[in-house]
Amino acid sequence: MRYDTVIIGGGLAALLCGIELVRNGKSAAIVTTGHSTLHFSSGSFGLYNGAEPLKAVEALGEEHPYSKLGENIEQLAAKATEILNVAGVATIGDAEANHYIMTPTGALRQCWLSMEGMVTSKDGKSLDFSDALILCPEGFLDFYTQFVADSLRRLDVEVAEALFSLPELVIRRNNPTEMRSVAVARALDKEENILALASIISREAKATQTVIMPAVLGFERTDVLSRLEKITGKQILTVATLPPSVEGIKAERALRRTFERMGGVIFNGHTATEYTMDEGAVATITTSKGVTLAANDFVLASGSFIGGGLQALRSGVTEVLFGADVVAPEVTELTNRELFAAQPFMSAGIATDAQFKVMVAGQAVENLYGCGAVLAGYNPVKEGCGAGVAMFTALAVAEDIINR
Amino acid sequence: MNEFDVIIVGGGATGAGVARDCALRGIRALLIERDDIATGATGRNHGLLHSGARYAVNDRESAEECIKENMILRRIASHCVEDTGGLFITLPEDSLEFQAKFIESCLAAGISAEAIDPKLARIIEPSVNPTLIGAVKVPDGSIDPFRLTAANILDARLHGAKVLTYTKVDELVIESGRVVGVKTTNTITGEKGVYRAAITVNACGIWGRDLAAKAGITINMLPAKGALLVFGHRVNNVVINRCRKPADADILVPGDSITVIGTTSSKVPFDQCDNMYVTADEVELLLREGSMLAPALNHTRILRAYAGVRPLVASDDDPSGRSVSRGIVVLDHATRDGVEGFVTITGGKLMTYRLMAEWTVDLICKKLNIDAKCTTAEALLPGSSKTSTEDCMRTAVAQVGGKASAFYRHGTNAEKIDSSTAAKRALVCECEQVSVGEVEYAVEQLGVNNLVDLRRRTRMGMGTCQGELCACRAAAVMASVGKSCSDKAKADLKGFVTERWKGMSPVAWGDTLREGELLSWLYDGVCDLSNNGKEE
Repeated sequence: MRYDTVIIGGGLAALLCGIELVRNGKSAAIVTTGHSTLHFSSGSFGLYNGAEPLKAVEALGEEHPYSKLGENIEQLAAKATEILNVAGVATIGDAEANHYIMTPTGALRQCWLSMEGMVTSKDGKSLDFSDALILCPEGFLDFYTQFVADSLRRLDVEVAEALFSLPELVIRRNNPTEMRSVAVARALDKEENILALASIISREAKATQTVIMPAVLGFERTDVLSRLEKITGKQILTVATLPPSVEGIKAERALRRTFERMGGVIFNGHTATEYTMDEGAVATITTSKGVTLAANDFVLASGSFIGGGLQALRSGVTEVLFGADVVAPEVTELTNRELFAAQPFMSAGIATDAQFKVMVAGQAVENLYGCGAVLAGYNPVKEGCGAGVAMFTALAVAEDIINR
Repeated sequence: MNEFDVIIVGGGATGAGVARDCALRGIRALLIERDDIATGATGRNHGLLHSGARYAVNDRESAEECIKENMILRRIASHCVEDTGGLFITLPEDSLEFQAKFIESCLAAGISAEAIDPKLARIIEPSVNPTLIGAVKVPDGSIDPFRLTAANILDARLHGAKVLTYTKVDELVIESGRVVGVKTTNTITGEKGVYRAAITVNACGIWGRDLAAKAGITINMLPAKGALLVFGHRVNNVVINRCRKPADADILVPGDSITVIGTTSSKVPFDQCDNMYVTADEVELLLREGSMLAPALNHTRILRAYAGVRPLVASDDDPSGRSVSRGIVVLDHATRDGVEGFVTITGGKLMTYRLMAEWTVDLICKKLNIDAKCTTAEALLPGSSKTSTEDCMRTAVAQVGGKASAFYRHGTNAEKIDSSTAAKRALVCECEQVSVGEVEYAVEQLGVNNLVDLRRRTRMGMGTCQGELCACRAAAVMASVGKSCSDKAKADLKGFVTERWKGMSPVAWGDTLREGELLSWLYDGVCDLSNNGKEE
């Protein structure tokens, strides 16, 4: 099989790159194991920490992937937002100034975009509601009301708390491991459960205008929140749960559907395991299921360690598929023993040239690009730039391929 | 009431054993521990139920003590012991002559030791190094030191002893050259206390040197660090030892859902005893030697590394401190140093904790003129009623949920865990099958103050995810049973994941690094817990 471009990886970078390519008339295939770090999403996207992220990135050193994007970041941010919105992932926020999203432990964390309908704050010090009911499914252990309630009270919100159950959830709970975010979300795909929840909200909220729930409102359906708002007349907001992140999974699915609808092909459950070269360029890759794919260009968006793009062996860090050049400390220096310090492994990744062409044995491979978490030179957690790097490098790579 | 007959300082297995022995003999005892129970050397070893075979050739006395205590613990602590059996293997580079001497020494010490065909050894334990040229079967097993200590504490309390954890001894109260009590500070609340007793027992392990110094007494101790690695599943089901002169990393012990290799042995300065990190060289050595026992270790995921400090005591008649006793050391400071009312129990090993306690309490009885016999070799520990445990397991296995593993952990005491509703049966920790009911039981009955304590009582967070997903759930359950406000719960959560990472960091490659990346993403990223910390 032959495509204009074959993308290795199935996360945010791979999907954005794929969508940009196919909507510009290129044929593209995505090869993915089927796992994506979007499943651990917080419901928000970071560009860079600081009040004004676009200003903050100007000061970055040349090792940072953003430095290769130069002046284009603002434009790339607009394009990334547009693609998310085209895919049906509604967001709020802009790149000029960060806003804040409430985390599962009740902290307010800076972000560039957040998914619509979540608890956010413009300045990190105030909220635009003054009283709220926190409503949590009974027996749901991956969202702790008290963390959120105490934080809201610190922000001068008057908080009431209530639990709810539905007959379907009561049955679920008979299995001790079943009461997790996706199971609750699936229950709320059903109209009868939405109606039952709506009447619980009306009963419990009384005069309170804002109702806060864990982000488990529907798995297949994206209109559960708006349905509830419409029926109850209340403002419904959500806060991310511990993994799996329903919002993250929904975003991933929306992006995948968009890519496929536009003509992209996904080889799901495939791991790229082999490749062939032809005159210094990648000719084909072959997957774990024996499918060989040829393309003009290849994009390596296989993620970091957790995504499986990088591997830390006892002998050192390697890039799994091509054995690309890696920028990483020795294995014994990969970690800082303090968990909350900057972890050196976070910045490990592959070396690329100015156009994100992957370096192998000191040479940039003509038709092999890298984007997203597989790249070296940045710390997504400490800099709050994981999503930004993933999306912007993916779009920059797509542009380069389109313009060739 | 702050008056006791005996104050025991130190909540390891030895201190807990002394408290229990006192309580069973009707002696009013107070146990004081600066941290949680089993936080020192007790909780930082293989968890090996020694047959004594390891000591048979070089130290007959220790070997005999071990096999006697081995048989006693199988009976009194049956829910803490797993009868895995053990093998001593001879590899091509080892000598079969040593094996002959080894068997002879074992038999002389009363340890059953049967040479078996290496082919049979490979059938008994498929993970064993296939190049072995000799194997000897011995009655090794595994023992859970946390459970063992908790059961001793539980029984001591049932018989009237008082136990204070998170309580630090600031000074000994000394009147007319006699230790008559202790002054303490609660490390959580800051509350001060004064407790008086006729005798104070120093059961502080390596930290006993400092307690003795408070009475102007010098004990020559040599902190010996031992590092170990925990593997992500049970590589072996039978304990594998190397049949040679005892050396580094030559014991591989299966326990619960994991396997442990250890140990190294190196001298460390006293100021490092509270902060043990495992070095890259130690990891290297453990893996190299460990894979000689079971080659599969080379490609098995390592969950974490940890280290403990053995309280080795220099012989009193050797001022250089080089001559070290690995045996039990009971020091009556009245005869040794002219300080009445103060006794130190140290040396020994986890295996002999009960015997150490017996000797100590015998001395206490003598000093207090009490005529009471030790019964700890016969009296079963709570949870260990054998037939009843088996019955419970049988019914529990048939039930849904983590009930069977709760019986495995708590023995017959698992009956006290509330599993009457779906809410109580809901699993907090999926790796180790810890339910909401079990967390509540541990908080209410087993003196759990924080998530790390909870891990020691239940194994919550000891599985492959190292607490990544369950810690937050457990923090919430604990907070909701009224043990903490949400700020404390978050600080606790942060402390717990920080502690887990400390053990993962030295072995962070392969899947353990991936787990670490997720841990960092979740708690530093998604939850922004480092920012949560700043609010406090």
